[in-house]
Amino acid sequence: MIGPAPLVWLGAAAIIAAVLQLRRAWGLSRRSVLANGMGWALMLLGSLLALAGDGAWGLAVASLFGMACAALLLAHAAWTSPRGKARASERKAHALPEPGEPRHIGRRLITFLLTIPLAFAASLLAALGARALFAMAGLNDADGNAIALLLLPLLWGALAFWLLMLSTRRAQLICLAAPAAGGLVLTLVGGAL
Amino acid sequence: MRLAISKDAVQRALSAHAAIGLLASALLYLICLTGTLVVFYQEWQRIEQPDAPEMTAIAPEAVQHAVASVLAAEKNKPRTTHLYVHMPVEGLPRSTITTDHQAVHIDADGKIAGPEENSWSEFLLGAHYALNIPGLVGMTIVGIFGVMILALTLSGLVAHPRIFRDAFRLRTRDNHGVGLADWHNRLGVWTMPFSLAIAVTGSMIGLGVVGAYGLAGAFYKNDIEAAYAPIFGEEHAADARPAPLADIAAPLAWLAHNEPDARLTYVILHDPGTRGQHTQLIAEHPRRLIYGETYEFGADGSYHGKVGLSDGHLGQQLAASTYNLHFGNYGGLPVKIAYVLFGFALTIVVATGTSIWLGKRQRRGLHEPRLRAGWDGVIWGVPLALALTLLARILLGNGAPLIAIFWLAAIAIPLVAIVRPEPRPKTLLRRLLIVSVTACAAAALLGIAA
Repeated sequence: MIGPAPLVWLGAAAIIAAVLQLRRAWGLSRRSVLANGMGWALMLLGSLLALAGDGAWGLAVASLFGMACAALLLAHAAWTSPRGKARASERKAHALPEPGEPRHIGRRLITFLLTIPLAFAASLLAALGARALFAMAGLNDADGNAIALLLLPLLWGALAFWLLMLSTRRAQLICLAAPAAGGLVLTLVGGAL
Repeated sequence: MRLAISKDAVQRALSAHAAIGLLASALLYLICLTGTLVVFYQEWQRIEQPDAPEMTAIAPEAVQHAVASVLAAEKNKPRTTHLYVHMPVEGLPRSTITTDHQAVHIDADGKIAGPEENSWSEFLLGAHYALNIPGLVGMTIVGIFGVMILALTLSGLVAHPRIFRDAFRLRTRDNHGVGLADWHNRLGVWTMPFSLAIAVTGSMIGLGVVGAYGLAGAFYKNDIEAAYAPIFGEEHAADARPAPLADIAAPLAWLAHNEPDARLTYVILHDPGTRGQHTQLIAEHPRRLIYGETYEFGADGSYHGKVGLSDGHLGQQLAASTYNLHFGNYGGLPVKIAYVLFGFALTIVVATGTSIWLGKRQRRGLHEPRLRAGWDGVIWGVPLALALTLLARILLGNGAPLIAIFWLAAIAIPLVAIVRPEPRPKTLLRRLLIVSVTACAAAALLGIAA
């Protein structure tokens, strides 16, 4: 079997160096933009080298080295961590009502409907709209369809998160309606349906 | 300049993180755990059936002979529509023929060696892929959980503003939940590239059919095959009139001669023994994420071209890369081991998420033994149920009702724990798990030795 290209090894080494540099930077008593920047720059450089060496395969392999390096540093931190007296967080997540608090079952059910089925529908329409837009821009069907299949989960995940960050139903409905309407219009303009 | 997230946004993100986490936790944990184990799908098959014939390569003529033998053995059954030959590869050096009716191993001479017996590996794959739910429903549900991981990652990042700053601090010896939170946050941060890759590819695979139906409805007059065709190639028209068996040896020889670096993984014969039959070869390309390139041949063995997964449109290459990137099949055993370690880390992140939430409630004075015991039942009951299925497979054979055993145990254990929460079931379940895993290992080793 042919081994990875030399650039992949270089990329992996740069990503490992990036993890080590970030550890140093994040351990400083004061935040240093330069130290942090060096870490992220090494990460970017390593990724680009691995990509240049063996494409997506090279990047996937090199990133495993970075994660493995971080795992070893974490294992060391776990092993050497002294017994502490820190109190754990008691931040309320408000995921379930505390005793005596109203259950708000209807409100929770609506939130579920917005973030799961409706956000799915909006994401699908937006993904189809993007596909129609790409087709109008001259992109071939293979690229357009693959992008639509990739966008569907990405948009849904982002939309589900963003909907839960909004404080009013009105804002949530707008957040759902915008990509859905945009996607539908583009799909219709693109000659589909 | 310093970017800061408002307190209100942090609190909302924490609520979102907890809400999604709680909604998804039990099944997400099951999906992550089975996904971690199924990385060794090939190796499990070798453990399940240690006496199947193995070989590093098989001659084209032997494959031709084997296909003819298998089809001859099925002459009294409805004609198979697809015939797959799994070719010997590094992780699974076995030749196996699968039709609509059976799956058999063949030896290096092309003789039928006996039935394939890999029901546990298939059960495990089915549990991860579709929660053992037949059809597209299970796969789509699992795809939704991939989306949930994406949303959990986003909300987790916003909910923990110091998550990168503290990324190397792991206070394992702190009480009161600090250690648990550190494990959750640190493993979450450092496996993030892996988790995002797994989540995006998993949700693409799981929701792929739903997305394809959308594409078909919008752009291809509801023809789902037409929606897939630009990426994976077109299905040929069937012609059911009988014909002599296609020449399979010639395509294999063609590939060896013209693509010497490609590693053949599958031979697919469509509509064998009919005038519409044609052959596809799936071959891996070294140092690529794609599962393989598809080479097309006519019934007479003539080369008709390739689909373009290796060098066609970027969309084709992207779609073909999702499977290997998801299952860790792109770099041999070292990558598989890395995937198991990171997969296990992701499983711990999911498991500790709900434990952290329960711990916070407990520290605020909420005594909820049933919730706590139920979650113990999930964390330790699911692996225990998996171990029981493996034990059943080894002791009862390939026909053991694995799906029934698993789901009965995986549902009953948390329920019993909820009904009878005291004493806390964690210790008992842990011990049972250790005993079961040890029994599995002993039984498997005895089986291999025998």
